[in-house]
Amino acid sequence: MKKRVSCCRGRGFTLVELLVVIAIIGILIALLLPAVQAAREAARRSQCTNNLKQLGLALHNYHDVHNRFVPLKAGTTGASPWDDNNNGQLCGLIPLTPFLEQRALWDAITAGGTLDNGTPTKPFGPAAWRTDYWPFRQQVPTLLCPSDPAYGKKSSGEQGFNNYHFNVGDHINRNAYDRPNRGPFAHFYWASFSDITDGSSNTFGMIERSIYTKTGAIRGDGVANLAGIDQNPTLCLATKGQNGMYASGYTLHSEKVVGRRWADGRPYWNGVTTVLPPNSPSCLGTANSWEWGIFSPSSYHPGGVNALLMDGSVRFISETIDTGNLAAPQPGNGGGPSPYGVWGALGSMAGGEPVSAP
Amino acid sequence: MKYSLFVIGALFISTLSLCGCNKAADNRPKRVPVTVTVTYRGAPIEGATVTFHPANPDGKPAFGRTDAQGRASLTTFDPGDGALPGDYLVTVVKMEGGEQATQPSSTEVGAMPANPAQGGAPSLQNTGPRHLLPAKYADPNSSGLRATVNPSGENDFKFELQD
Repeated sequence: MKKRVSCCRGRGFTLVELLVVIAIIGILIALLLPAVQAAREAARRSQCTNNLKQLGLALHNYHDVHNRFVPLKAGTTGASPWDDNNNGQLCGLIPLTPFLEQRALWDAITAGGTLDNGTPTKPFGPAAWRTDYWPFRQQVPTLLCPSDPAYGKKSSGEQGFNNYHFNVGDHINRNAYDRPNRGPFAHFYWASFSDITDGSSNTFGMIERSIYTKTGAIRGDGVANLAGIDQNPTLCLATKGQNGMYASGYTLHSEKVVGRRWADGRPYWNGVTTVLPPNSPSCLGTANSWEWGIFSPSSYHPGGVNALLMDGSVRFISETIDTGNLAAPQPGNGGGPSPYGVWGALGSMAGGEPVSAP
Repeated sequence: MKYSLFVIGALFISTLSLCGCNKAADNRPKRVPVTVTVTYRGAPIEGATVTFHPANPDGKPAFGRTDAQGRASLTTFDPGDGALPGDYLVTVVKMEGGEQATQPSSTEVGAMPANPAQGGAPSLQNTGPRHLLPAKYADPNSSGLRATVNPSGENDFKFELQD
């Protein structure tokens, strides 16, 4: 008995050896932890990419049925207070719902129904910015990117959120009402493949944009009343301050709903321009959220945004993409090359530029 | 025992060497620092946006916003990184914003122009951002301001605006 104990004592570990092993394990974990965080963000990003692919398929399936893509916004018209018409502002995401496995939502909106206070509304619902109509308050899961801090933060009284915004192209003045825009999506304008003469694989369809979460943050907030940005977009770029915030001295727009009203098709809330590079400021050319401006894509992925091309493919676009001469006036609406480099060329559907996605 | 010390040492050195590998190279064109000073009627102008429009079509614009002393350091890609060497036309803009649309009631947030549908353009309700400096300085063709950024040496420009 005694002999056996003494034999096994020799095979034990000393305190120093144990400490060394613990130290090694500690170093290995320290090496691994940043990699785990990066892997988690990569997983979230691939889900965002997948959502964009689903939207690309939905756009193509819609085109197969209707021979057209959806408009940026369209709808029913009528007079204030817009209880029974949506003022022609219904976002193109709504007609995509049956192609995103949300046919019940589409059926409810096309049926009309009633507002929360019991007022009947006609097919396609009340004004697109209203929150007192239950179908507008539904969240389509495909429209949310998990990397965005607003993910899962929608309160029950808000409209559905949306991270994937329609490309209105590289022109600025009147991009909320021109038809067509230089991009494939415009007010009461249904583009078809034959309109995209630059080629569907060289034209952006939808690009990520961060949902508003914080006052003054470049991701999600916007500057109002910056006249002259259509003649010189660097005026908008100059609003960039430090740490992802706008510089002081600018007036931010008072309506804080970028990405928070999926039914409302005004480009300030559900559109993007390809003028300033990803993660740049957004600026309205006037005081009003329904008018034109520069609406820059943004995301919380490191270094850029995911973008859907009209052929259904998804690319990651770096925030250092070539943007040409950002002090140049906007291109005329219609044909003609973009002054804003590869970024502007990929945003226009008929600019005649021979570029493809980087 | 000696062996595990060696393993720890090797891990420590490899960790240190990994730290040096995450700096991306800047393959964009080289910029040189540029500062500008803007005065109007002899007084420094705060909050004006100065834009350098490249005369060369392959150039890149640079911009900056003046501080209380009327000074600004220009940005091309990263804040304060300067401008590419070359010739530029210069504009100076300072705007005063108009009133934002008031919101009559909670249900009419962002009330729309009467009938923007069917392609009928709503009257653009430009509630009046206006220039605080002579408007000719906002257009590179009429501003008359020029600058040549040298690849080496001091690039400090002074623009004295008049009516």
